[in-house]
Amino acid sequence: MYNILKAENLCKSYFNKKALRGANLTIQQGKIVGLLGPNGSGKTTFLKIAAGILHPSSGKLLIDGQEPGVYTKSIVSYLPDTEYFLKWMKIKDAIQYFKDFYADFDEKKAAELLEFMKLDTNSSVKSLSKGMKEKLKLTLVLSRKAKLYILDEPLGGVDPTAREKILDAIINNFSENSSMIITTHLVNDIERIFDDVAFISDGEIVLQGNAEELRLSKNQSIDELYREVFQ
Amino acid sequence: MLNLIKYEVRGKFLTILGICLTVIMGNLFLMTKIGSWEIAVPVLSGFLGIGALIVISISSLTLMSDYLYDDQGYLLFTLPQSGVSIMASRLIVAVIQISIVTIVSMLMFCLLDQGRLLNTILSYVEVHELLYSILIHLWSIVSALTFIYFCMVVGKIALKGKKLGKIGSFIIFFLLSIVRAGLTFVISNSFPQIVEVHSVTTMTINIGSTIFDIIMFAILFMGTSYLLEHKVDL
Repeated sequence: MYNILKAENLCKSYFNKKALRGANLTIQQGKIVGLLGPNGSGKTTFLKIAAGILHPSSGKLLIDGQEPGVYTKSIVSYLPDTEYFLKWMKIKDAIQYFKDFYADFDEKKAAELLEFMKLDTNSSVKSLSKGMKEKLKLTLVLSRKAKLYILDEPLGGVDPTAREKILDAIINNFSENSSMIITTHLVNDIERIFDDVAFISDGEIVLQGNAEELRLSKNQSIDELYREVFQ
Repeated sequence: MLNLIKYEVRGKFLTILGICLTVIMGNLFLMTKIGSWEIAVPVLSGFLGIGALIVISISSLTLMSDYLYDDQGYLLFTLPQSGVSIMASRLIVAVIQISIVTIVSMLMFCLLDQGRLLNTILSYVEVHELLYSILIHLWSIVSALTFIYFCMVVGKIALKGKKLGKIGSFIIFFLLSIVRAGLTFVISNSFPQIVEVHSVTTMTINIGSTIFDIIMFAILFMGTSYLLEHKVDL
């Protein structure tokens, strides 16, 4: 099967601190991969390199056969764990912004997702709660017909009801031709959607495989396995 | 790139509007003092215009620094846009907003002194000389901002942290300014050929240092564009 993302010996150092120490990971087309690890394990660093906003110190990461750059940004839909909207924007401005910059943005899908998330297009982004902003970011990211979706903590700071809604949105809008990589601490809430999982610790992938096979071979849920690996 | 310009102008719209309204209101107030404050009226109008230009110039610097150090950088740097597009759009928006404020300030000044200064200038200066001055003014803005943006980006890449990065950028700017001034001095002495432009006063342009400025601009523009696309870490 075709690998949409391939990382080989990926390293990233910040002066005297090593965030990634030779991480190796492949993501196949059509798969949802959970990248799991504790705080400071290198999850966000890995995703930021894949999104093209951080540059590796050594090693290689290819998306659709190319190094992160203008092309990969056009096929990667990235949801960062920060609130990146411009202060003056209303929701409709944010939608228009994505429509203007991304050729794969589907306005109809965005309208459906806005309705599903109960977001008013005339609301100012500044006035939205953290959960609402998270829903808006997800609406924008999932409204693209991207080859690779990168979701960094999509459930961060969101209440349990909203979590279910967000997970439903992810599942309903995921296409077989796409791939997705998700990081989260809320493993129990989200593990049902993972095809594959990769456990990252101290900048290295320490365990990876098919989620169902891991459950059967270890006789544990992914959440239990996570707790065992990182205890 | 046009979309980048569109959204940047939209983002700066209130700043531009606020500055222009302040200049207009200030000049309207000064108009009520014509006859009682005498020479202070045009002088204060001039200060108002200079103040407005300083504020809008600072705003032009934030066109780059906001994206380098704040979370909105995640929006800009994940777009499928080249470093050249990002850099060019910043410069074009800066020129647009500085030009708008300059034009409004000058118009208000002309209204205030009933066009006397403008008539005096036009009676001595040819139209092509005026256009040349405007071109030089625009070149100065673009050249200076390119240099400053380069220092900002190098500071961001070389030093970790918002505070350290900004202080570092200033030090880099200071040091490179000295180096640049030194090189300009050496070049203009080594190649003393000049072109004279006759106007109200005679302007001399050193050919060597002008070529050096143009080459420096090209290097800094392409260098900053490359660094934005390939080296800046958020």
